[in-house]
Amino acid sequence: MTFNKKRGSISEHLILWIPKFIYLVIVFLSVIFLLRMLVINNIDSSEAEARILANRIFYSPNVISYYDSEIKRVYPSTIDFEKYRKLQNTDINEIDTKSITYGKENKLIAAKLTLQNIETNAQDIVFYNKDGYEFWEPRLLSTVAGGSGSVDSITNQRYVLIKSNNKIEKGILNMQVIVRK
Amino acid sequence: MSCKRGNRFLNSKKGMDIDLWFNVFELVIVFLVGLVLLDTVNNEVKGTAFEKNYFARDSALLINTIYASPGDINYNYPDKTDNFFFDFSKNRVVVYEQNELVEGGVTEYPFAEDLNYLFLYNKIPNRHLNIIYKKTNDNVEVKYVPQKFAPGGGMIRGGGASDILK
Repeated sequence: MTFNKKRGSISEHLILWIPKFIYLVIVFLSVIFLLRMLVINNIDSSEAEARILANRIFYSPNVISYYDSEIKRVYPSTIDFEKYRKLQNTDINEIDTKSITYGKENKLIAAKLTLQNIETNAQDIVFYNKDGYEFWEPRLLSTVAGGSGSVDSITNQRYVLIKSNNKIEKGILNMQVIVRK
Repeated sequence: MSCKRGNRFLNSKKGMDIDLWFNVFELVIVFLVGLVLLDTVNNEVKGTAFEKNYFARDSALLINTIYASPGDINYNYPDKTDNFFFDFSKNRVVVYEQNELVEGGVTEYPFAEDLNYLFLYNKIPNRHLNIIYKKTNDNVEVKYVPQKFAPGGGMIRGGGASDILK
């Protein structure tokens, strides 16, 4: 009889303890959540990443700039049009596989280069990581689902010289770089 | 009905005993939760996740920048990195502390290689003096200057760096 009474009382206590326990868990999780909110662990380096890629395309001897192999000098403002033409009209070009390669898959950065000849007004487009660019470009618009905040973009415009068959013409190189955050 | 019975029981001596034990149990639970909370706060504050993330990104961006340079480069990394291991492998930099390869907690960040250059992959242990990024001719490499231990057990740092580099 006494044992039954005691058992009944313990179960009542346990039932009464459930809301207290839930309250304790809520307080514990709230403190952890607030702490994680206050301690900053994220670094947004997307803009630096984009600017470094734009400079790498422009200054590296192995991408599009004219390189004199005899004196081992790069001419960063002179685009070697022969090199540039080879990179056009291919989904995966030499920049993706050799000059600026992230391995099998590039899930970080993409770019579109538009070279405009001022004299003839012709435009030539080269993509770096074309699949990535086509996937991320719509996400630059805030109206697209998954957009606005998921990717960052910079546009870089430079006046250049276009060297083609010993002929030099004036041009504008427009680089749009998209980086996934 | 059962509530009435429970109240009656709680007012009895045995009921008081159980009530007291439950209060003690509550105090123990709150104390344990408090300890876990303090430990979590301590770990969060002392955690090196931010530093590892920073060094992994900075090293990867630095390699990208070195590849972008038209000429040769020899760059001494200025920040204090001697608490961390650095693993420069194919297309990625991995930063971790002692035992973290087994226990978890490594941070990595990708960088883009230029296959026209030979990247000499390297593992840099902790307790190094500084890290040197170098690009010469067709090679890119990341080296380190080890800390020099004096025979008596003391460690030479800072001012001794120039001697070691010689």
